[in-house]
Amino acid sequence: MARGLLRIYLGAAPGVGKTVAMLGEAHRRVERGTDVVVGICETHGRAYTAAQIEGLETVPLKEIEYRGTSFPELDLDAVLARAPQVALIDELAHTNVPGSRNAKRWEDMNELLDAGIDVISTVNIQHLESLNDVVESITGVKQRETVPDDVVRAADQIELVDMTPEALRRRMAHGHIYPAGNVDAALSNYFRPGNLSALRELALLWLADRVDEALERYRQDQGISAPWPTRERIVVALNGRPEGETLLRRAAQIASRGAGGELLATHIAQSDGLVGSDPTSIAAQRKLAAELGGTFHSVSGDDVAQAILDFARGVNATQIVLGVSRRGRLQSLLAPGVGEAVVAGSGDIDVHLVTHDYARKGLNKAPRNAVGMKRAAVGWVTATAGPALLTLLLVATRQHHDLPLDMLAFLALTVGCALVGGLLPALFCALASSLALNYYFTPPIHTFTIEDPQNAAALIVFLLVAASVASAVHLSARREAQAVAAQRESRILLQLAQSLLGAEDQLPTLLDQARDTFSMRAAAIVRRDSVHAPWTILASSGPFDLNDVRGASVRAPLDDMTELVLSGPVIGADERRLVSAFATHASAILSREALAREAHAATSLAKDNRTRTALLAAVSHDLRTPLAGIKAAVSSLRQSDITWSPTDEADMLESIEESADRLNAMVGNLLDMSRLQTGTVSTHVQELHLQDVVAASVAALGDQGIRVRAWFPEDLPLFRADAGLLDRVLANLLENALKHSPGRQEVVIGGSGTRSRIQIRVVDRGMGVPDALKDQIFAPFQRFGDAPRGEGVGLGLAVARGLTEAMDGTLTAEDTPGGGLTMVIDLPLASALP
Amino acid sequence: MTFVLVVDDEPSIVRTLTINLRARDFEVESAGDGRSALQIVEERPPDVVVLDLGLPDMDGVDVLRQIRATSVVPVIVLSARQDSDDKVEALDAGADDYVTKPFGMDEFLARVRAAARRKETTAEAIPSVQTPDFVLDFANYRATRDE
Repeated sequence: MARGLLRIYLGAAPGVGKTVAMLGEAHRRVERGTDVVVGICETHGRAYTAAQIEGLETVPLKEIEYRGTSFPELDLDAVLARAPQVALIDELAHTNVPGSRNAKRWEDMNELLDAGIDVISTVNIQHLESLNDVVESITGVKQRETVPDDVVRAADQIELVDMTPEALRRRMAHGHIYPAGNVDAALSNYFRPGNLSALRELALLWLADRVDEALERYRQDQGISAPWPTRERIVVALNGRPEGETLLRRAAQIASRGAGGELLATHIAQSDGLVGSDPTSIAAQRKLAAELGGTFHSVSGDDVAQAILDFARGVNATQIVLGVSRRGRLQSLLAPGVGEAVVAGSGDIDVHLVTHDYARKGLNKAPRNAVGMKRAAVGWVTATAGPALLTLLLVATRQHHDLPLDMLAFLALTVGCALVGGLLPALFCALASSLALNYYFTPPIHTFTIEDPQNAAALIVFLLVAASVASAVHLSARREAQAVAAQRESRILLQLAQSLLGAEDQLPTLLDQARDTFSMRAAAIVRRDSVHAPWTILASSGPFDLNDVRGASVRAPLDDMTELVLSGPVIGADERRLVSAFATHASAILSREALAREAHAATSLAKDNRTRTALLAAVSHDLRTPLAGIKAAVSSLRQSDITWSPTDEADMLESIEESADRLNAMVGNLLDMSRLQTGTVSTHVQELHLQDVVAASVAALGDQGIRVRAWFPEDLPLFRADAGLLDRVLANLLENALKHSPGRQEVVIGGSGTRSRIQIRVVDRGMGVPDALKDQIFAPFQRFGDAPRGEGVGLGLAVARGLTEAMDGTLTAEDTPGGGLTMVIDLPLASALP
Repeated sequence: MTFVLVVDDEPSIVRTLTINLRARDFEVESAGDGRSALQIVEERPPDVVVLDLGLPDMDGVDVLRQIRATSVVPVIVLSARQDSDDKVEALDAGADDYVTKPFGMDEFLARVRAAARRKETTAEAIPSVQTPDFVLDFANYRATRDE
């Protein structure tokens, strides 16, 4: 069932005339003869609007009880049952009373569209989800009833109903919008000229973007489509706190400016599990992202700024949207917030810092250490406990060693601390160690003074060495981690490339590898035909079902309608790059498969063309041969220089007639064949006697008729067939039998009956046909046996079978006992029940 | 009288051609398939051969080639195939003329007459060799020894 068409009248403010426009369109369509029905139409007590409904068929509203009051709502089932061509649904953003089937009226509308009913609807600009914040800031009123953007975007036609602010105010003043008594201060506030102008601009701009989108799509269809990377791709970084909603809406607005922008929301989950976000607000933001037409990704990473940048680079983002930092000004001085770090590292990606209500109001936790809390904790423990323990140990064994060994022991401890806990604990350890050395081991012991200046220098050098070793170790540990990660990445890519080169089923292999690499539960490539269509699985690995698509941890798009989906644990931002590599590979495989299919189709098309050309040559030969006979005889008779003897003349005239008959039969067969193939054979079934049928066929054979003998019982019952078609079938079968019977051999027509069917047999005693070919002889354009290659078309048997089957019968070939071929026509008896 | 061999599997065409040729004082024999045609060519060499390409037992071009292996008799090819590729193939295989079906009788007879003229020229081109012991008659492919 094709989805219904949706036309939406978009207005900038209440009272511009959307409902009246909708009703006007309905009247026009009714005049053109379309079946239009009013599903629900809100008149808001306006007399003019109510008058416009006159003359249109209305589906009565359903009264729904809620909390003691009865509310009239759209009766969706009644409209579906009525099944009109077009239904009018007013006020798309309306929330249905609890107790209705769907929560929102636009969901009702979707059901109507799915049922193939066209819908005309209205909506105001302030109801659009993505514009919610802007409208609130303009009007001061929070819009509770909203419609997701893609519902309106998916409309086939959006018509703007526009009115100047002055005209609108005049209307309101005259009480045309709301009854004069209801126009109170708050309402007048809403209708201030500034408000109305701003709303009008919003509506015009939004619609202009849609027009631009459609134009861009048109250009892409007609010309070379723009490559993937040039589209605007906007990454919104969410931390799970409430301001995320504002960020999402703002990012959606940026994405919708200029055609084809794409929105990716990413939530950076920190691996140590300490959460500043709560799961419900993340879920709400995920839902909002989907409503705004974007995708939601969860990414794990300890360094938030770095994770955001890695993700953005991994998806080739063009812009990043972040919230302005919550941290107070003092905190920002001490250490850079995420925003500043992202800006610093963004390179050629634009960064938008969006302000929100919570900016600079709350204290944020300090940015995490690159090392991780656990390791840092262990490091600090080592840094504090280590020197203490070591001091105790060395003091206890004082006799056995001197200052140099002590220093080296503490140095070793500091290095160990650097390896374990990172830079800061190691530095603390160095400081603690030097103090311990000073107090306990440098003469004079148990004081902080140092006698020997050399020892003092040694201590200072110790401190410096410890500090630099600590930072060197720390740095090298980090570098090593990076190198290992890079090596792992390149190893995975190499494996991927190698496995794909050889594999037979490349997509499943790729998905298996993706599962292994990222430790996913399941992986799949999914595709859908349009934004509203359901997903279909192209290939999958592991226990994957379509419900996983919405909540999958990784979704990498291959093109407009296809995505690589991985479901399982959340992956780190740096692994996102690898996912892109897999996605690119997958899209290469898909396009290669598509090309192979096209090539195959092209070769079979070429083969068909060759067959068709050969056929045409064969048909033309078969038609030309009798024509040649006619022309030769006619041109002979017309020669003026010869007088023909009567016998010669008779001979030639006979040739002409024979050839004409042959031509007629040939043309008849061709026409029958084409009629059979297009299914336009009409049968006129009568009740027939076999004797009459056979007598007619034999008579039609003329001279050859004496070679045909009829042999069947006289009391055969009447059977059901079309006389004309049966005549042709018998003519073809007899011609075939006579051709294959050597010399003047006889051809027998036999008949026999069962309880419900009759069998008519045409028996020849020629060469017969081997079992393997018994079905092939009925194929059109085949002549089995003595045909020279490429010569002639064998249509007779194919037509015979086709016509028999059109009469509800069957035609089969059997062996004649003693050699030869028997054709059996099986038809229903007149007495049998149809 | 010029002896014409007509080879075609369509009886009505054979009949018409035979009537016409006989009415113009040609001697006519007919064959319905390639094998019998080759047999006749061997037993009694014709002056002109009219050969249809669509024969039931072997391809007309093969018949043509076999004739050409042993004889220079003019051959007129008859065929419903009208592609120039087919014409080229037949002419290159040794046909002297190609007539497409359907054809007018006047044209056909004119071409037969032309082919017969060619036969005479060829025949006269090679004089017979006469020696005291034997005579070589190239036109009729006969070697006679005086006995």
